[in-house]
Amino acid sequence: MSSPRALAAFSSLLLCACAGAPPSPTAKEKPALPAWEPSVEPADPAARPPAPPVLVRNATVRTAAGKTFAPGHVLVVDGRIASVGPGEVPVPSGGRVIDAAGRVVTPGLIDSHSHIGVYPMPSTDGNLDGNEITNPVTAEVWAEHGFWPQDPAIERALAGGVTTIQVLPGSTNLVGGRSFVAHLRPAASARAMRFPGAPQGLKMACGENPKKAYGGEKKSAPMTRMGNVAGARAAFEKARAYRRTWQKYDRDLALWRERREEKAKNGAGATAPPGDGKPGDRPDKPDKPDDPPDPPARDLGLETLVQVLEGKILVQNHCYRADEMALMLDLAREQGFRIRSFHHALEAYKLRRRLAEEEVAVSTWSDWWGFKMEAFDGVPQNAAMLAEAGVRAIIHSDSDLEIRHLNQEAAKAMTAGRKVGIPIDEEQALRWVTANPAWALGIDGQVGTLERGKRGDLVIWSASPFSVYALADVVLVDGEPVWERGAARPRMSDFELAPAEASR
Amino acid sequence: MTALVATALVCLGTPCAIENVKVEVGDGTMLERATVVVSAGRIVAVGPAVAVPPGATRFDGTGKVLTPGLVEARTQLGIVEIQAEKATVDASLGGADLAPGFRAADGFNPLSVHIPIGREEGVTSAVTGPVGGILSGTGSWFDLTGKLSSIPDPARPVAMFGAVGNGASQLAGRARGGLWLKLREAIADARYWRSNRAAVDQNRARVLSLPPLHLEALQPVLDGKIPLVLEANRTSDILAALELARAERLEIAILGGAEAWRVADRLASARVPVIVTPSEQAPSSFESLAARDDGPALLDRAGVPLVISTASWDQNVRRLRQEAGLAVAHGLARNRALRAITLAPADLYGKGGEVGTIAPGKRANVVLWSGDPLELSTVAERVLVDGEELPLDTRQRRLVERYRAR
Repeated sequence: MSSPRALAAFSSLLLCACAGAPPSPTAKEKPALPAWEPSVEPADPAARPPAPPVLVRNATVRTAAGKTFAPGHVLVVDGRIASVGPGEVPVPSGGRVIDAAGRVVTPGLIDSHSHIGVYPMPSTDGNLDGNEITNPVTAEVWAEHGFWPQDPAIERALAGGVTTIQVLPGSTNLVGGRSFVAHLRPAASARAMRFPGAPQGLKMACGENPKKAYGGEKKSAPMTRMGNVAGARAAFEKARAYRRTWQKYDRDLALWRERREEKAKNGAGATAPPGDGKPGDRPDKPDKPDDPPDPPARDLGLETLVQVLEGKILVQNHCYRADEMALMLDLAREQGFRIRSFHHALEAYKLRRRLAEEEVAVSTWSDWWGFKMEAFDGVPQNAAMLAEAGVRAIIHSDSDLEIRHLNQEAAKAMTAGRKVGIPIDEEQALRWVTANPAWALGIDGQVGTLERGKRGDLVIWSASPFSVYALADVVLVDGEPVWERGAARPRMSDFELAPAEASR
Repeated sequence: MTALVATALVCLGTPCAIENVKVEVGDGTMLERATVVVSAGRIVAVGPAVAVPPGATRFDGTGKVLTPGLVEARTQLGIVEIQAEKATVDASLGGADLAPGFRAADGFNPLSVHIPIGREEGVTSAVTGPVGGILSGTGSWFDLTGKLSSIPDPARPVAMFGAVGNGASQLAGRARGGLWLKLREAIADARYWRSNRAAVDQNRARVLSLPPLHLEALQPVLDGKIPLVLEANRTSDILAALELARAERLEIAILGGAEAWRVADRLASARVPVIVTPSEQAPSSFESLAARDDGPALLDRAGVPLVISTASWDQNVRRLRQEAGLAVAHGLARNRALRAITLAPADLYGKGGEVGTIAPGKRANVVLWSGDPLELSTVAERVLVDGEELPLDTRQRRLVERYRAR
């Protein structure tokens, strides 16, 4: 996993606990039960028992990593790709063999922009859980907490060959909250569907939506694009101040410990408070001059933004116009964070050289455009022009219907490019829905290409995935067949269970 | 590159002939290596061995496919420029429940930048119609030429549009019973107006639910001269629409039809066309819980006249052939899919005698494709309306040119 920026950690509280354990400088100082210390990073779901080995043979294997093997194979063992290449390999005992009969195999598709689960099917008032339209900056909310794992759209996305999605809060807010990456193995909770090891994202939005949702609907800030930028800047200024209070606390705590050690050396150890100075060591006792410093109050929203400043949460920025993307790049530089991907970004083609230089991915559609003023300069060549300039182009859906044919959308964007003489090849177009979104989500070390060691997420297509006639026949997630076309089985979602009908 | 690509297809003054071309006629048939002769804006001959008139401009269509111009059955093209900009939206009468007298054609703008974009993908005709009401108003047929002459005559609409589902019920006491009450009342009043016109004009009539112009607009519907296109998705809504058509002796069509496959036999025996959007077959609302991807295929197999539309994609009619392709992926016969975006919508609106197939006597609205017109790698190379090749330039292309040069 590549991190956009490695910033010096400043506080034990805000350090990433990626491995599940809070970091601590020495074992000696580690408290036995650090109950006072909040869990900043949610624990990943428990590992599932791996699926039995599966060999897909006799396939045209498009790896999205520069190679096509025809005929080729993919072998998945313990959920990971054990072998991919030409010809065949033996199947471990107990393994399943799928003869692809010449059909095309690609990595599972990845949608960098989805609201599945937070705006589920069917559309109801009771399940509108994607926009916390109460404040233009709601960095404290998490899409994971609004996600309905029974959304019937999950099964349909799988049927379209999609194995991983980023679930984002909506775009009414300048800072909409944390996204999460969902691995589409249906489960009973969002946490259980979390893509292991995936960083969270921060949804930010430029343009019309925030100013309409607040200025237009509520007559409160932001009412203009001026207000948008001011709001985003102010949020990060607060986050930096918050970070400073924690940095000061860390310094004060270190000083306190130094003093205590000095006292101990000077023989005053008997009077020094026990423990390492953290609040849990001195419950319910009145302050004394020798007491350790108090930690600042925790602010969940600012904590999110600080993690953005640290590069641990990846910024996913809804932004249509080129000039606004330029403003956001300036703002990010001023505040000290990186934007991982612009989303929708219909005018990204106008800014493609800078986007390439600054290594910002662009998630866009093939041909949606024109539905609002900031979408009026959209062109179907956006992805192709970006790719030509060296930008990581991504075709995303933003829709529980469009997600069902992301492969077709990539095909159309490829054709649009070729139409004006941009020689996009199928390998590139495939990366628009696999390797490139994997990078934008920070999971490119795990998925996005068919390479040894990566997760066994793959699709067997009935025909070339660039054909309008192609459907996903078999979809594997971690080597587990999660979708098989034509298989007789009940719908995945509880919501779709229906009673038997009497004959008419 | 053949001469075909280098030269404009001029089929106006002198006849022209496209030779050696694969012709997808539009009625479900196909001709390999045929010749199509166009003269004076009409198709005059089609077949494998037709004589090319002397003096005709000849084009080699080897490797290409010729289809009728595609027909989008239901759009707001020309009446919505930017959906979120109120000043550019002329698609409904401000949330009115009953507005049969509202005419989409009154707001039609032939210079919409969306029109060349639809044409670029082979759509040559469309029906633009209002939305939002139980009866939203009349829709009109137009060609995607962008010419001022393409403004439809508001007095000659091709359909009345309405809706009988969740959205419409919100306009009628938030209950389906309310919308059917209003709909029945409007139809009864239209009948009353027809036989008591003088009394109404002299203010001697009973209280009516709608003013005269609205009731007048319903007359061609009552006469069966234009179809009443009702958006209906839930099975029971579709059955109620069928019952309305039977009781009132109306020509109707169903728009949406998410659950129509469940009553395909009844739709087929009543010969009621269904306008579907294949990419939207999903339980997106409580009225489409039974939607399924092979719904369009099931309808066709049952004998329901099937029309494919980009529907809610409003102005993005360029997706029409992809929609047809999606239906094929989910089991619809390919030739039926092509028919569903050419002859079937033309027939629905009474235009099947003029367009919708490549046949002698029809208007020369044709598209020359680089390959299979439903495939995503195919491009429309030539688009002719009335025998005239139209530019495939768009504002989007201009943007691309400007920024590729930078």
